[in-house]
Amino acid sequence: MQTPDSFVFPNELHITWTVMIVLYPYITGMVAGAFIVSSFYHVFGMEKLKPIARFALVSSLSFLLFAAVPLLIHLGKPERAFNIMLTPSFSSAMSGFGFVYTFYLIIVILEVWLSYRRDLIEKYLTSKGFAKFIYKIIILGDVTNNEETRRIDKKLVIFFAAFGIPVACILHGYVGFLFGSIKANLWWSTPLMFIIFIFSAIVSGLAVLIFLYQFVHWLRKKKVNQDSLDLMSKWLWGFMIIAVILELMEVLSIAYERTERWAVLQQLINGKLQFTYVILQIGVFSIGPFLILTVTSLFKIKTKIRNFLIWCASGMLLIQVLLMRWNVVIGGQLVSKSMRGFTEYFPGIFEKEGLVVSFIIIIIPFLLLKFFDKIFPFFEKNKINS
Amino acid sequence: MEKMERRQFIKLGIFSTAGVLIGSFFAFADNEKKLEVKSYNDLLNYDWGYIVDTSRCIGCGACVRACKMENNVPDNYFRTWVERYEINKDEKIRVDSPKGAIESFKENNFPASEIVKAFFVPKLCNHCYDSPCVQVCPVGASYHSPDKVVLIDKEHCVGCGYCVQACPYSCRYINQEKGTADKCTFCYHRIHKGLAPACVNACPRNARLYGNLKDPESKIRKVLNQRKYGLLKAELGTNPKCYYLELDMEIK
Amino acid sequence: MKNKKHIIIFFCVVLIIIIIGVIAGKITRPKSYGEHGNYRYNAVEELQNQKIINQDIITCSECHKEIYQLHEKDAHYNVPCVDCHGPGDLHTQYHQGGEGSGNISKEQAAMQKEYKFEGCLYCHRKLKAKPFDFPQVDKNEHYKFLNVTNPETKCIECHSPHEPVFLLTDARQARLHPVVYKCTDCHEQKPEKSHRDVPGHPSIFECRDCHSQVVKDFNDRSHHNYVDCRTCHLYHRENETTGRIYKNGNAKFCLLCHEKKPFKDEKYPPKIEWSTHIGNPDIVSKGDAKICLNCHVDKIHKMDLLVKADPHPENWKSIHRETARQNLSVCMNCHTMNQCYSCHMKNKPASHNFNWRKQHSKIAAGNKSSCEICHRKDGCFSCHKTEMPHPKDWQEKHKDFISKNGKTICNNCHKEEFCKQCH
Repeated sequence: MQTPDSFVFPNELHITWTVMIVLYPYITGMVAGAFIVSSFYHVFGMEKLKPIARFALVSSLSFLLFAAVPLLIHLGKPERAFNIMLTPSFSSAMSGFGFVYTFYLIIVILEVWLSYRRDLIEKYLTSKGFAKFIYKIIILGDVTNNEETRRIDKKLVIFFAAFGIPVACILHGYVGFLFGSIKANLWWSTPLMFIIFIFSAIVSGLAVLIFLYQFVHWLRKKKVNQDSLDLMSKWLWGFMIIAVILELMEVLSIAYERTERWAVLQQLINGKLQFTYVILQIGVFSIGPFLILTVTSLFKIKTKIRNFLIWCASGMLLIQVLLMRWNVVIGGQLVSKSMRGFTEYFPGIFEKEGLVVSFIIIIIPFLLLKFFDKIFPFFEKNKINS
Repeated sequence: MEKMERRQFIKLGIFSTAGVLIGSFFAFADNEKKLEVKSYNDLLNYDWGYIVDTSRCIGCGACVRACKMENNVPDNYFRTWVERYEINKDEKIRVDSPKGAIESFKENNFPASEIVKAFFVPKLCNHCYDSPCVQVCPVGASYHSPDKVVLIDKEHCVGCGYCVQACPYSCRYINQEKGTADKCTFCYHRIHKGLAPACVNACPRNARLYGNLKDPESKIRKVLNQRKYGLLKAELGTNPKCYYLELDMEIK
Repeated sequence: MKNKKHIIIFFCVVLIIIIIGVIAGKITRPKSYGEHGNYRYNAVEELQNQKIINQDIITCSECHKEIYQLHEKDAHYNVPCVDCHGPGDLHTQYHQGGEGSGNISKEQAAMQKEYKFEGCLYCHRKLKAKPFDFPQVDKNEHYKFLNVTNPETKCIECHSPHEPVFLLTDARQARLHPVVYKCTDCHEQKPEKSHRDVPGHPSIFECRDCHSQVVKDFNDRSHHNYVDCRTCHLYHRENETTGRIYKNGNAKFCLLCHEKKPFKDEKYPPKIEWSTHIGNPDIVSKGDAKICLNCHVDKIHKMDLLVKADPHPENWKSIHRETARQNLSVCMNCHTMNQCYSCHMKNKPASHNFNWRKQHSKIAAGNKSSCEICHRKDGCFSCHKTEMPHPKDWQEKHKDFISKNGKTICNNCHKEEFCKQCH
C-alpha cells in the first residue's frame, strides 16, 4: 500500500505466508494440547481426566492427520514436499519438520492403537465381511488379549505418553521458535515466541477438548463427568491466564524498551491490527473468557449454567487462539521491513489459499473425528463414571 | 541348431556393441555442452561484491528494466529496485518506489521548494556472507556458491517461503508461475563470461559497481579502500556484501 | 513372547516403512547434492548456462563502428546502448548467425531506433532527488525557454541521441576545472547578498572569480541573460573537487537555440535558416566546426542580440583587394565564387580602363593568378584563343594556328611588322 506517508519495499506488497500458515500452527497447537492433556492422565495419573484421555488421543490423531494439509496447499511445489526429508538442511528450524512429524505420528498412532486394542480386538471378533478384514489389518492380525498384554500395553502407553510430551512440544514449539527467530521481521522476533506458542497450544487443546466433550454429550443427551470438566475448566483458566500474560508481556517489553521498531509496531497495533488484536483478541476473546472462567472457577453457580458458561468460554478461547495465530502471522507481514509503512491482505474467498479452503480444512478434522468414533469410540456408551 | 545359435549370438554381440558405442557417443556428446562452465576450484578464486553509489544515482530505472528483461522477472516483483528519499524543511521524510522505479519517477512528492535533501537509493540482494536465507532453507535450495554468491536451486526449491520471510532486505519473492523462490542471482551467467550484471551494464551513471573482492587490484577493492561506506541493517549480523557509498541514516 | 507379539509386529511394520523410505530417498536424492556443501552442485553449472540477453556496448561497437565513435566522444558516452535500444539479444543473434539464428524473424531482430518521449525523461526529468549538477529539464520550462510552441515536439528534433550536445573534444578529455557554483544551485531563489558577505558560507568558486572581464561583458548585455556560463561551456562535475569544461564553439551547438525550426516561435531568440545564412554551409562538414565563432567571436560575450555581427570593417569594399589577392581561401570560408561575380561581373575593377588592353600584358606576365580570380584559368583564351603567354613550341605551332584562325587575332597584340622580324 503506497500512500504518500507510507512506504513498503516493492516485494512486500504481496505477503508470502497466507491464512494457510495461520491454520497450521492452530491445528498442531490443538494436536499438542490434546496430547498433553491425555498425557496428564497417563503419566501423572490424574484420575479425573480418565474420561477424556482416550478422546484426547483420538482427536489429537485426527488433527494430526490434517496438520500437513495447509502446508501442502501453501507450498509452491507440493510435489517436491519430500525434499524436506531427502535433503534436509539442518541449519534450518523447518528442516526437522518431516522427521518430527513422522515420528510424532508414529507415537500418536501407537498410543491410540494401544489404548484401543481391547476394543478393536472385540470388534474384530464380532464383525463380519469387509469390516472384519479392515479390523484385522488394524490389529495387525494378533488377537492376544490377556492380563500380560494389557499390562504391557499400559506400560507402553505410559512410556510413550511421557516420551510424547517433549515431542509434541517440539512439533508445535518449533513453529513458535521459527517465528521468534526470524530477526528480519519486526513483529515476530522475540525469544518468547516458542513459549507463547506452547502455552497457547495447551489452551487451544484444552479448549477444544472441553468444547467437543460437552458438545458430543449434549448431542447424545448424555451427562458429562462433572469432576473432569471442572478440573479441565480450572486448568483452562490457569493456562489461559499464563498464555495471555505471556502474549501481553511480549508486547509490553517492546513498548517499554522503545527500540527502533516500536514506532512502527505501535502504528501497527493501533492501525491495521486494532480490530483483530486489540478489540477482538485481547478485548473480547481474552478478557471475556477470563471473566467467565473466573466466575465458574471461583464461585458456586448452578451446574447447568456453569457448564454452559464453560462451554462458551472454551469456544471463545478457540477463537482467541485462532486470532492470536492470525495476528502473529499476518500482522507480522503487514508491517514493512523498511519500518515506514504497511501493506494489505485479504485471503480471498475462492482462491487456492482462500477462505473457503480454510473453512474446509478446519472442518474436516472434526468430521474425521466423527468417523473415528466408529472405530475408536471415545466415550463409553451407557457408562457414567462417578 | 548349435550353429544357428552361435550365429545369432555373434549377431547379437555385434549389434549390441555397436548400439552401446553409438549410445555412449550421444551420452558423452551431451556432456560437452557443460564444458563452458567454470570448475569448482576456479570458482573458489572469486568472491563477488557490489558497490552502490547513492550520490550518483539519477533514478532513471534502466537497471530495473534491464534486470527484468535479462532474468524474466514477473510483473510486480523485483530483483532490484530504486527508492527515492525526500526530506523537507520540517524534517519530514517521504520514501517511495513506484513499481520499483521501472518507469522512473514522475514528480516530486513534496513541493519542490520545500525539499531540503533528496536522493535515490538502488537496492538489490546483498549476497550476505552469513545470509539468513541460506540458513533457513529447509531443503538446501538456497545456498552459497563457491564464489560466495547466494543462489537458488530452482529444481529443488519447494516454495515454502521461509527464505522470503528471513531476508531483512526484502529482496526475495515467490515466483507465482514457477512456484519457487527467486531473487537476484548477480547475473551469475554473465559474470563468468566477463560481462557485467545486467544492472551494472545498464547504469548510465556508474552508480553501480561490481567486482571480485578477492582480487586486490580490482576496482571494487580500490574504491572500498578509498571511500567511506555503510551496510544496510548491519546490526542484524548478516554481513552483507553490498556496500553503499554515501549511506544516509534514513536508508533502512 | 507371545504377549509381546503385537508390539513386535507394530515396530516391524514401522521399520519396514522406514527402510522403504530410506531406500526411496537414496534413489530419488539428486546426484550432485552434498558435493561441495548442502546444495545440489549441478545447479551452479545450470545457472552459468542461462541465456545472455542484454548486450554490452563492446558487442554493439563491433558492427556499428561509426555510431560508436560518435557516441563515445559526446556526453552520452556512459549511456549503454541497451538503455535506449533495448536488450538486443535477438538482434545480435540474427546478425551474427550461429545456432538458433534461423528461428528469428527480421521483425524480431529489429531494434527500436527512436526512443519515445518518456524515454529521455526517465533520466532527464527534473526532480529534486537528482544530483543538482545532472542535466535535467522540466519539459514545460525547457520549451518555454526555447520558445518551442508545439508541446509534442520530441527531444530528438534538436538533440541527436548519439551526439546530444555536439561536443568538439572528447567528453572524457575536456579540460579539468575547479567546481563552480551558481547561487541557485543550492538556493531556491537568488539571494540578495553575495556569498562572501555571509559568514560561515561554504567557500565556492564562481566564474567571475577568475574570468571577471568576460563575465562583466556578458552581464552588460542589453537584456537579461537566459543562459549562464555553464549552459554553453557545458561544465559538468566529475567529483567533489573537480569538473570538466569546454570552451565550445561547435556550430551545431549554437544552432540548438538559433536555428529556425517549424516548432519554434518565430521571433525569439534570433534564429537563422542555416542553409542560407552563409555562402558555403559545406564548411561545417569539411571540418571547421567552429564556423559561428569565425564571425561572431568578439561579440559572443558582449553580444547585443539586435545587432548582427559583421566580420568586415566598414571600408571593406575598397580594401578587400589585397586580402583577396593574398589569400583567397579565407574568403572562401564564407563566400562562394558566385558572390565575387555578383559584383565583379557587373563592375569591372578600376584598373581595367581603356588602356588595359595594352597594359595588361606586363601585369599578366608577372602575376597571372590575380587575373584568375575573375577570369578563371581559361580567361586569356577567350580573347587570345591560345595559351598566354605563348607556349614554348610556338615557333612551330603558330603556323597551324594562323592557317586556322587567320592573322587578325595576332593583330590584337602584334603589329603587322612584327611578323617580318622572322619572316
